[in-house]
Amino acid sequence: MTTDLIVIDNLSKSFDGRNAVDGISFSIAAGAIFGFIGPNGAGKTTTIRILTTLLQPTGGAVTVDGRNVLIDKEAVRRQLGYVPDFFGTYNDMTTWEYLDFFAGCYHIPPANRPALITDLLTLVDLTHRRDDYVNSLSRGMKQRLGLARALIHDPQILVLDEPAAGLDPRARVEFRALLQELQTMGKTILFSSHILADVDELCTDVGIIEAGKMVAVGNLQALRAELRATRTIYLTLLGNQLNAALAALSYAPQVTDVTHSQNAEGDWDLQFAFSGDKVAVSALIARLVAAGVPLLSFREEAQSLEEMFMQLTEGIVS
Amino acid sequence: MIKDVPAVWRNNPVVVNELRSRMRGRRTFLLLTAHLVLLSILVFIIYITVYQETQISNAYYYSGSFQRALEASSTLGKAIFYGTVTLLLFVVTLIGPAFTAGAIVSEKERQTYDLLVITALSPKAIIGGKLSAILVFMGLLVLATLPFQSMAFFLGGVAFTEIILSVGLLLLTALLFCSLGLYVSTFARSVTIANMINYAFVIPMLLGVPFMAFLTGILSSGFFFERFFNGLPYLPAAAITYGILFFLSINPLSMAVTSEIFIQETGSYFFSVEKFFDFNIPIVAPWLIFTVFSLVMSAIFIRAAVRRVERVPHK
Ligand SMILES: Nc1ncnc2c1ncn2[C@@H]1O[C@H](COP(=O)(O)OP(=O)(O)O)[C@@H](O)[C@H]1O
Ligand SMILES: [Mg+2]
Repeated sequence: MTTDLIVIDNLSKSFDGRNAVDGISFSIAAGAIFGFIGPNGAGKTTTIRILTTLLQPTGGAVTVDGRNVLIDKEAVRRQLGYVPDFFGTYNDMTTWEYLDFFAGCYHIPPANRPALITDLLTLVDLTHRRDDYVNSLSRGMKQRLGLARALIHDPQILVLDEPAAGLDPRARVEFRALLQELQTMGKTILFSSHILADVDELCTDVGIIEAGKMVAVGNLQALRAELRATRTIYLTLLGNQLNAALAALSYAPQVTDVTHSQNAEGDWDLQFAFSGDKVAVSALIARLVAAGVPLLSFREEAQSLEEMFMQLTEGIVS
Repeated sequence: MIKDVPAVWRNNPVVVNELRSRMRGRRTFLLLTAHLVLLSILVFIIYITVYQETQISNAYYYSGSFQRALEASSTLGKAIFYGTVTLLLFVVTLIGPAFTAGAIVSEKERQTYDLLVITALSPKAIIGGKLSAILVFMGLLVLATLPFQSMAFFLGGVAFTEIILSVGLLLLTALLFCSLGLYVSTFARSVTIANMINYAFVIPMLLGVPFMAFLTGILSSGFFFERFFNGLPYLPAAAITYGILFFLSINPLSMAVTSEIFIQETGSYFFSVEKFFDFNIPIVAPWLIFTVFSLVMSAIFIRAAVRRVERVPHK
């Protein structure tokens, strides 16, 4: 059984009568990497600020490890490491001093700090900048320093608001690798993004928010399967068996939009939309084989997240 | 609140951070230099002026007895003491708010505030740390004038107790104005607005001194007294006396002047029974009232500031 570390229950927040977050609910299991996805202005930062005890909600509740963020503020704060979308640094402070300052803020004894800070700088690959002023770091480096800062008290949960925004592609790849490393270290991670590509191959779970409402939430694979209700299937047939194949397909009511073309080798390529589930897909293959259709290849196109997102948020205009 | 003081000081990273950034920049050095230059100029002007006056009186009393020379020296001592204390009062009341105005709101403007408050550091430690760091600096400004104070002491005319008292009261004034500034900093929308609110308190207060002196002058004048207060019974007389005493005591400038008058006239540092409106009314020295007032007000401001930081905002 997985335990839900973060539970958001019917959370809402309005600013001057306008709903920024409108009754959202979801939970995040321990050890998950949760991608909180939505376009700009959807309410991601607002939700994250309530979760991190920095903003009062209008309604609903957020609990972290069973503790209400409003009531057990201090305990929750100790369990969370937070990297905001934008954060400032103090002037005249070096990378080392910055981390030392926050180590002090978390009551880490001075004797333990050098080893801890050295480890964190190694983890985020900033060892060579330890004596440079924080202001002189690039956006990517600041982001990594922010992550090191968020980890200084060894929190169970990491909350990152748009961590990939403003990073170049290389830095983005490195950042994803870093998050995966943190997951293997046992952290539960929530990060927000308005870019869907950030989710792919990184998240275990996703929540999609649009205009303050959750559009979809859950395990990434399950969500994909659910959305694959209509899939595109590609077949290649050996030789000249097109009519047999078309006849077999015509019996299946889930098949629509069949197109075909002969390829350079003289075999036929077929493409059609199929609205059945995976049981129906396997039944379709069986029927084709039973009809003596010489299948050379069978491929279904996995829906890209971009398409999934478009499909989910269809018609909702913020 | 008092029992939190050690916790605020022990390993408080805010104190270290504030002091480091204050001492690392050139601004502090320039400010201290300007402060000392200003003081030196003031003392020099006082010296020239008083010296010339004593020369004139020396010429007049040609005999130039030892007694005269002693009086001239103590006049100079007093003048230097009054001059430096007055200047310090202005420096403390004008610089204190400017230094504290940004304490919290500048962290919000720089987007460092959220990260600070979600650490394990308590709001008390944050506010206490900020205040301590500023008070250390204000203390430096006050203590930097000790050479001039000791000069006044050795010239005569100023008691050692008076010097100690003046340093203590200057530090209390710093505490009061810095606590106010810090509280303002917890709710102001920007550093500029925080400064404006602070000076909206400080400037009328500084300008209010001549007004209050004027008011006191009128009230104690025979004309006004006979018109309105002739035959005033004891209780209203006492109430008016205490009211005026209180108003003169809560303003650091008028408190300094009236305390000095009190000490000179009554010969006591603390307490006396004086004749007001035909009655003998017991009164305490204005500096005592100011001490209690500034401690109470500072505690209120600090507490309010801590509350502000504790609260999870709606915006
Ligand atoms: N402090 C605030 N005051 C007023 N409106 C706000 C405030 N913060 C956010 N909003 C509004 O709430 C909505 C959601 O904003 P936000 O949570 O920042 O979205 P996201 O992070 O998904 O881009 C937006 O319409 C934004 O204008
Ligand atoms: Mg945002």
